[in-house]
Amino acid sequence: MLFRVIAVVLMAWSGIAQAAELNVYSSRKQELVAPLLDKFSATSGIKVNLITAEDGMLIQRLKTEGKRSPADVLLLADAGRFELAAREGLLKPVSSPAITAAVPAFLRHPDGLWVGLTQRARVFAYASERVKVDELSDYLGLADPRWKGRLCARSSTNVYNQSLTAAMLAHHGAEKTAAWLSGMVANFARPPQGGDRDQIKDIAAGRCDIALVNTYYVGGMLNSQDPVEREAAARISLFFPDQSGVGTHMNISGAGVAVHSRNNAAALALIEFMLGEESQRWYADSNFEYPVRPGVKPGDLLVKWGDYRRDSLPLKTIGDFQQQATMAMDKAGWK
Amino acid sequence: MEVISRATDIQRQFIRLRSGGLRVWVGVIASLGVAPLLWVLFSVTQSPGDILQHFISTFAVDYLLTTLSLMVLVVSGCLLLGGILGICVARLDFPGRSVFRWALMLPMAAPAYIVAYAYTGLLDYGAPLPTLLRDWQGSFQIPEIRSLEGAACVLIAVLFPYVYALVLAAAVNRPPSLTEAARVLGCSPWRVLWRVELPLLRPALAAGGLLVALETLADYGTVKYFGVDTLSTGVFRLWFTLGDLGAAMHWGASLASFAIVLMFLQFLLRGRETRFSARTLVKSVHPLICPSRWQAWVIACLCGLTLAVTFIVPVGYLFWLAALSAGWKPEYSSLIMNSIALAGLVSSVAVLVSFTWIVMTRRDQGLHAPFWSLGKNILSLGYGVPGVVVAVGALGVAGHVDAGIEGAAASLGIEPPSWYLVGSMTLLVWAGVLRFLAVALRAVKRGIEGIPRTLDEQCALLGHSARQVTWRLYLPLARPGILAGVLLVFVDVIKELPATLVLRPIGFDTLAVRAFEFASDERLADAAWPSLIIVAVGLLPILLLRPGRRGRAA
Repeated sequence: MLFRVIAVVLMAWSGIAQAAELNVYSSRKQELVAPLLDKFSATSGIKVNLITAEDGMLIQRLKTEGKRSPADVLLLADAGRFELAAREGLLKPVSSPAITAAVPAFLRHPDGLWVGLTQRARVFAYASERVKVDELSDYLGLADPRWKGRLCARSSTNVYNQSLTAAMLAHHGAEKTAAWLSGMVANFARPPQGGDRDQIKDIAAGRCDIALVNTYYVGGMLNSQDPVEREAAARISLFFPDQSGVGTHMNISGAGVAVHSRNNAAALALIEFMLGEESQRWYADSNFEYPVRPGVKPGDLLVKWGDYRRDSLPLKTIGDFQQQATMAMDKAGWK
Repeated sequence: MEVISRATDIQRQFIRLRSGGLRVWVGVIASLGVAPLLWVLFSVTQSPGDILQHFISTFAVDYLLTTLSLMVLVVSGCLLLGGILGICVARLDFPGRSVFRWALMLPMAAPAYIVAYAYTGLLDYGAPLPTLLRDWQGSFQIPEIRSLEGAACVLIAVLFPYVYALVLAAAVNRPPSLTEAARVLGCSPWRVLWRVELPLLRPALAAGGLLVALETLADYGTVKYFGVDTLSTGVFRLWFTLGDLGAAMHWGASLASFAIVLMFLQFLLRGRETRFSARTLVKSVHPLICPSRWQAWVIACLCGLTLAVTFIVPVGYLFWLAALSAGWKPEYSSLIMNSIALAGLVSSVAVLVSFTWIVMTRRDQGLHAPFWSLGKNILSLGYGVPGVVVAVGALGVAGHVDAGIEGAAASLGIEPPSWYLVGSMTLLVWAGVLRFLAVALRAVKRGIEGIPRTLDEQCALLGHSARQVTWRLYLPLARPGILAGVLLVFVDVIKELPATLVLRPIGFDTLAVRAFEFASDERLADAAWPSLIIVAVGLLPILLLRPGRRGRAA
C-alpha cells in the first residue's frame, strides 16, 4: 500500500505526459464523456487522463499553466467558452479531411480552432397542466408580468444562461436585453439555484410553472434510474421558442486542441474518433443530444420532439458578447 | 567549583543556540513558506481594475451583508447551543451524561457541506418528506432549506462542538476553589452556576465564538451548494466567472485581512483565559449538581435531540442513500488512495515543520523568545484564511516562480527543467501545510510543553548532545502530541474542499472534490459513499483523542 501511495505521489509530481498518453480537460461531466474516452483508449491503445472542472476554472487553469500546461484536448460545453479560449490564445488550429467531412461549416471555427461535437437547444420546460401553449412565444415573453412568481432559473454563473443572454444581446441590443433581464428577475419564484434538473423537479413539484432547460437533460431524466426524476420529467412538456422569429437558441459542445499540446497526432485522433459514426450515434442515443455529423439520425426521443427552426446566429458572435452578457446579468440582479 | 562552572558551560552550550545566524536563516525560510499569504495581502496595494469596480458596484455590498448576517447567526447559535450543553455536561448530573460527554463531539466529524447535502435531500422542496407534509397539511410549508437560514442551521450543527469542547475543557480544568468558596459563603448550587461559573466561562465562549466565526468565513461548499453568496464565493465568482485573477486576489486580500483581525482577537482572548485556568497536576473534581428527575430527563432529551438532528439523521440518511445507489464504484478506490496520499503528505510535512519549530523555540529561550512566538503566530495565520485565498496566493507565487526558473534557464542558455510548480502536487501540499500548520503547531506544542525542563538539563549534564536529546527525550515523550497533530491535520485535509478544487493536479481527485461534484450535479446517491468515508475518517480523532482516555494529551 505504501509503495502504491508513493507511486501515485511521484506520478502526480511529474509534469510531462508520457508518449502514449493524452490529457483531456473537460467541462462536461465525467459520466458524459468517460465512456467515449474509454472506448477510444481500448481501440487506439492511448491512455486518456481526464480532468473535469467548471469551464471558467478550466480556462483560468490553462492560462495560469501557460507553456507548461499538460493539456492536449479541451472539451467544453459551450461555443461562447470556446471563443473565450480562442481569444486567450489557448487553442491551436487543426484540420483534417475527416473533420471537414463530419462537421458542417457553421458548427466549427473557420480556422479550425474548435469543432462542434453535438448540438443542444435551450428551450422552455413548462407544466402542461398549468400553462397553455398559446401563452408561450419567444424568450422575450418570459419578462411578461403574467409569469410573476412562476419562473424558475439557475444561477447567472452558468454558461448556458450566459450564452442565451449573449445571443439576446446580439439580436436585440443592450437596452432591450437589460429590460428583458430585469423583467425575468422580477418573475423569479425563488432565488436562482440548482441545475437544469432541479428546475424541472421544481416545476413538477409545483414550485413554478416554467423554466429554461437544455434538451438533453430532459432526455436524461426521462431515462433516469431515479424514479423521482422520471416522474418529474414526465410531468413537463417542452416548447421550442421563437419559431416565428429567429428561432430557438442552439449551442454546441465541442473539442479543441490545446495550443501547447505535445501530442498533436493523438489529440487529432481523439477528435476524429468522437466525430465518427459510432460515437455520434452514441451521443444521439445515450446522451439525447443532436449529432453534428450529417446522416446520423438523432435518437427516437429527439425525433419525437420534431423538427424546429434553429437560430442560425454564428456561434462566434455568442463568444463576442459573453462578458457583456455576464455584466448585464449582474446589473439586473440575476444572482 | 570547576564542576559547577563546567555544568553551566554545558547548559549554556546546549540551551542556547550557537549563533544568531540560524535565526536569520529560519526567518528567511519561514517567510518564503508563508509567501502565498503575503502575496495575497500585498495585492491590496494594486489599484482595482474594471471588473472589480463592476463587482463592487453590483454585488459586493450584498455579499458582505450576507456574510456578516451568516456569521452573526452561526456564532450566536453555536454559543447558545455549545454553551448550554457544555455547562450541563460539566456540572449537572443527568442520565447518559458519560456518553454524551464525548458523543456531542461527533457532529464535528462531518464537514458542513456533507450535512448540507443530506438535509437538502431530506428537506428540499421536491423531496418526499416535504411533499408528504404539503399533501397532508396543504398550506404548511417547511422553510426553504437552500437559504441563508438553512446554511446557518447547517453550520451551527457542525460547528457547535468547537464551543462545546472549549466550554467543557474550561469548566473541567478549573480548580474548584472558587465554587467551593461560593458554596461556603452560602450560595445554592444553581446560584453558583449562574453567578460564578458562567462569568468565568466568558473567555472560553469568546474564543469559541471567534473560532466559529473563522470557520464560517472559510466555508465554501455549504454556501455554494445552497446558493448563498458570501465573500468566499465572491472570490470564485471574480476568478472563474468574470475571469479576473487580479480582482480575485484583491478581494481575497480583504477577506484575509478580515480573518486575520479575527484571529488576532482570538489570540488576545486566549491569553486572558489562562488567568482562570491554573494548570494543576491534581485533576480537579467538581461536585455535580443533581437536578430534579424531570429536569434531568429534559436535559438528557435536549442532548439526545441535538445529537440526532446534527449527526444521526444526516449520516443515517447518507447510509440509506448509499444502500439505494448503484453501489461501490471502482473510482472510489482511487479517490480514497488520492485523499490518503495527500493527507498523509500534508500532515507529515506539517508535523515535521512544527516539531522543528517547537524544538528550536524550546532551546532558544530568553531574549529571543519573542522572535519564535511571533514566527509561530505568523505561521498559524493560514488557519484563519479561507482555503480559496490560500490557493489564489499559492498560484500567484507559483506562476512567478515558474517564470523565474524559465527566465533563468533561458539566460543561462540551458533547457528549462521539465518540472514546474503550477499544477503540481508540491503546490497543493504547500498550500495544505500553510492552511493547517496551526493545528500541528498547537498539538506538538502541547506535547513538548509537558516535558519538564529539568529533564533537558539532566540530559545535558549526563553528556548528551542536543541531537541526542531531541531523538531520545523529546520524540518519545512528545509522541502523543505529535501523533495527535498528525491525526488532526490528516482529518482536516481529507475534509478540505476549496483549495483542493482549485490546485489539484491533472487527474487527481479527492473524496471531498468528487462528493462536491456529484452533489452539485444533483446526484446525491453517488455522493453518499465518498461522504460517508469522509465522516468515518473524521470520527477517528474524536474516538481516539477523547478526553478521559488514559494516557492521551487531548
